[in-house]
Amino acid sequence: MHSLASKKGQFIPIASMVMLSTLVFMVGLVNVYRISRAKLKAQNLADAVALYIASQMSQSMNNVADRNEWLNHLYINSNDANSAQAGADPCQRTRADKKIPPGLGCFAKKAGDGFKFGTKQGAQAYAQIVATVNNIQNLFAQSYNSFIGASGGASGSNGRAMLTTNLFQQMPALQDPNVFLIVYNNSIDEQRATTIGDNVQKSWTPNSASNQNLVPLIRPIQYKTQDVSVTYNSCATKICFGNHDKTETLSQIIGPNAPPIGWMGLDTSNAAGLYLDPNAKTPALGSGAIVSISVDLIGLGNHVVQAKSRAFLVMTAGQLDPNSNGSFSPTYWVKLGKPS
Amino acid sequence: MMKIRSDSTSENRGARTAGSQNFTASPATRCSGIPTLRCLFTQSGQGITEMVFLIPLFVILGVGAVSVSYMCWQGIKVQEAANVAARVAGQETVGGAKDFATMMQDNGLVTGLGVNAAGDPDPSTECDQADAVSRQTCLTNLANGNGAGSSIGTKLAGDGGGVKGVYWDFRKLIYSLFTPGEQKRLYVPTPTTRGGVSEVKVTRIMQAPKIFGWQAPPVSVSAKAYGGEDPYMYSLPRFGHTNSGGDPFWQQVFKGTGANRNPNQPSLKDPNP
Repeated sequence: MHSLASKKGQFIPIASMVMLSTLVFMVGLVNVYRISRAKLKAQNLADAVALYIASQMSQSMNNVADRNEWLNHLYINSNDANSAQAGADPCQRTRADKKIPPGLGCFAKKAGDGFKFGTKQGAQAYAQIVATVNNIQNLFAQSYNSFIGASGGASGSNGRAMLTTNLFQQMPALQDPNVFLIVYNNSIDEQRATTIGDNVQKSWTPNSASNQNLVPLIRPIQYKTQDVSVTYNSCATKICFGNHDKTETLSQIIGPNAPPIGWMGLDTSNAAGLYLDPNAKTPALGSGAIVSISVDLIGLGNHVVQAKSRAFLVMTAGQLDPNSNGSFSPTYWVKLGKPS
Repeated sequence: MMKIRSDSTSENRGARTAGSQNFTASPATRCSGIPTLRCLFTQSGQGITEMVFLIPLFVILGVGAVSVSYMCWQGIKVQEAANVAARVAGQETVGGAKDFATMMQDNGLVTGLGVNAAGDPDPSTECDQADAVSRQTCLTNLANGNGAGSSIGTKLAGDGGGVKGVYWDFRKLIYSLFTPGEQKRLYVPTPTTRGGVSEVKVTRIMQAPKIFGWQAPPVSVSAKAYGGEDPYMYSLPRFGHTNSGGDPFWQQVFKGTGANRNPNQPSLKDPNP
């Protein structure tokens, strides 16, 4: 009892406590720093990955839209300042000179504005040109689906492997085995991604094989070709009596088994598996990423920090712009956060 | 002669017994008249002895805590700066223009304008390859403005505002996030672009002040961040300046102004694009 009440040796315990407190403070500070830094890194990686995949989707959409627009300028006099610009009326030159076929948008929007091909062969040649461009568009679409990791990508390629290679090459920080990445591009898979992300946060142990730390939940962008109808003179001889004008789709002109030929746009028939935000004012395409980083904390073991990001495309790409004369407007940009 | 109050020594109790709570604590005074060997074993002056050892220890610990706090804070700032700069690089880097030189100029990577077009040196490239000793020397040289990083601590020619471009824009932005003192050893090398994604790196070297002629070796913190957007995302590349002049093409498109505006492109000014 006397010993407990003694004031002897008070300085050493107090000094020890001060030093211990300082050390604990420093350890806590370093741990907070590591978590904060990892959170900042995770957010940047999530933003960058979401934007990268959205950019690839945008490229896919724009490639298709741009090639649609090519077909608006095939026969238009490029010296005509008005008609050479994107968004110009694709029927304009035809109205001035009925011998010049109008752009594809004129057929799609204004039924050719009265233009008719003189012969079926002329219409077939036109259909072949459009079909060739459609083939190119399909090849581009398949390639970009591979780039974004969609399983329905170009034949012979593995979408996941392609996405892994692309992402690791573009953003080497993703090769860190302490980083776990989940990517998705539609609302259904977003829920799955969130569930996987929650599990990662609870029970993930970093894997030295970093390419195993990528979960792609990407669906391919599907396009649909809108068959375009044209009118031609079906008279096979030099002299015919009566009206021999015949209106057929380009695919009918090519042959009975030909696929649709015309302008290509987004296939919205499977809306549930297409949009990242189907409930937005305008259903929006986009991509999302969840990045988890395992942080080694002093004295506390591993802790997983997580960041999520979504990037959207502005929804005019690949579509026949209803407000235009018949031009196909490209997307132009992707944005983080909410859809337009 | 310092007078202290201490209850931790037996002498103090003795002093209290003698009716005085104040006493002189000098060991020389306390040991006068006592044989030397015995004086070594006396507990007289233990408080002073403890203070002599502990106060410097506290000071070292305090300085350490402040240093660690400062380094952590700078580490966070550097990462934040890199993140912001990466957004700028991602959104503004162009993949095309009327010619290659214009494209490089729009991206801030122009040569031949009398500026240090290479931008700041990259300490990690210059120093990380070396062994530990050489690395310290390399960092010290950089921090002191010697050797390869001689431009450090001085304003680059492009800082005057005469040179524009994406790199200079985000470098200026990063510098604005740091105090003038911190800017002296701040390094923002030109971005690395792999494929279409820009990687921005920010490094800060911290040099402690000299204390009695001794100086702790410099410490560096660096951060990388990625832009994400691909400047080729427009199918046609995101375009810089054209023959029409004015703003870069992509800005005209976004702003909905100028000869190159796309009539179908919703303007950013449009409240409901």
